[in-house]
Amino acid sequence: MTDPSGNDPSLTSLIISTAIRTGIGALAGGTIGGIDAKLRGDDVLVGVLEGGLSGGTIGAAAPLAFVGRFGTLAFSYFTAQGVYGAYEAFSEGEILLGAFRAIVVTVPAASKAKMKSRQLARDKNVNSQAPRDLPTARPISRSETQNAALQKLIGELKAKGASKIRVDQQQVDSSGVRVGVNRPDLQYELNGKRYYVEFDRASSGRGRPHALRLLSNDPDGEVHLITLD
Amino acid sequence: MPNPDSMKYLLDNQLAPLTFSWAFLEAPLDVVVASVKQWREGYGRRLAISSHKGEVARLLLHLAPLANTRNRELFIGTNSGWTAYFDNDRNGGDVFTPASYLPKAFGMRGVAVSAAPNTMKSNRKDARGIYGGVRMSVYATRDIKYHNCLRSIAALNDGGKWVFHADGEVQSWEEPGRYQAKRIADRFTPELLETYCRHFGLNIFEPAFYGPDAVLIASDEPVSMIQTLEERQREMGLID
Repeated sequence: MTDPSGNDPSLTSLIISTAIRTGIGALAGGTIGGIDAKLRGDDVLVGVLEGGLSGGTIGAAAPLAFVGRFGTLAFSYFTAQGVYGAYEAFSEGEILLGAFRAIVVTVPAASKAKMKSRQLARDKNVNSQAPRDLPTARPISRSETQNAALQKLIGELKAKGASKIRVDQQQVDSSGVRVGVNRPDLQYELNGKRYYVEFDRASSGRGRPHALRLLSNDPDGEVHLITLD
Repeated sequence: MPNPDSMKYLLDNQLAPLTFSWAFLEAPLDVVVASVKQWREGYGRRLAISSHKGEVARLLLHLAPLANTRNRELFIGTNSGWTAYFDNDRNGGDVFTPASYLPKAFGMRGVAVSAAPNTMKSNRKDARGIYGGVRMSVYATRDIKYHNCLRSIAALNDGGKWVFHADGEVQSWEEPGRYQAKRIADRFTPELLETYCRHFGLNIFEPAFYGPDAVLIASDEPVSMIQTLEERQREMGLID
């Protein structure tokens, strides 16, 4: 059941998942910090270390409650800092540095917009009103292993205070708005973030299309794919 | 489908969506509140707890404002051995987690109920209304198979298509013949829900059944959208 990509949301994989987030954050932060330092003529190694430390910290802390709570605020702060940095570079005649900072600032927003643009017409045209939630004890599959794993996961999530739990119902985002007619096996809210979980058999190959559709409907959500026969 | 106007709802749904879904826990008010406090603080939530007294219609107003994720929960004593649970989820009561978790973790049975009128007349993107339906789930203090849901019955409009679900063993207090009704909405109505709940000593649609003692628990659960009750009622087409 463990997904090596860190996408298995069970408690036992939390450490692996945090390590993966930290690594990705550190790599992205280090790369940006290093390039920025090189363009402004500073020590590249220092830039890599500073950027890597910031990125790694953000990656590690991402699942924590306070990050979810202040996520929008933090995102706005970093965006504002980036915009100011780009402005500062342009006004000092550092065109290349300014262009680099402008790209870094716009990439997250652009990638979200790109993801949203992939939304299927039948999802785009759905009425935003969410139906009432159905009982969650319903099976999601003919595989008893999958049904048992789903209920075990729901049990763990309830202990952590997860809310807005839906099983095999149309996709509803963090605001309680229906965003698609696809039916993730499980969807829930935890610490201010919306999660979607799909169980697939090893032979199915439907995991990636499932994830892309879920994210095109809700680019702010997080998808977990669990392979289980 | 029966006319929604002729159906029974709590307070005639004048405070909807607060009265679309709620739950009951089989323990006195102070025991339920202490259990919730232990549970929520156990995973790091900070809580503000306040006591209130009054009729249910006034008590429910303490839940405002509504939020995209419940961060205000109201526990109301009843004239039975059960405590009622309501919350401020903007879609109308997100009661599954407390109604199912508390029974197993703290040894008190739980009953979750939902009764919302179906006013959605079209599947068009711009149509206004509510996908309605009726639902009841009974949660035991121990696991039955993979979960502690003893019985769930639901007939609701699942986003444009009416569905009927019944999970778990048929209980002695049920009228399974009703589930054969041709129209799905007729298989589980608010009246049948009310009858089933009476088996547990719950007069769910009777305002005098609730109160006067209540406790509000407000938490620091992250929310990204808050609305007044009136704003949400207007958005849902409940008021003009």
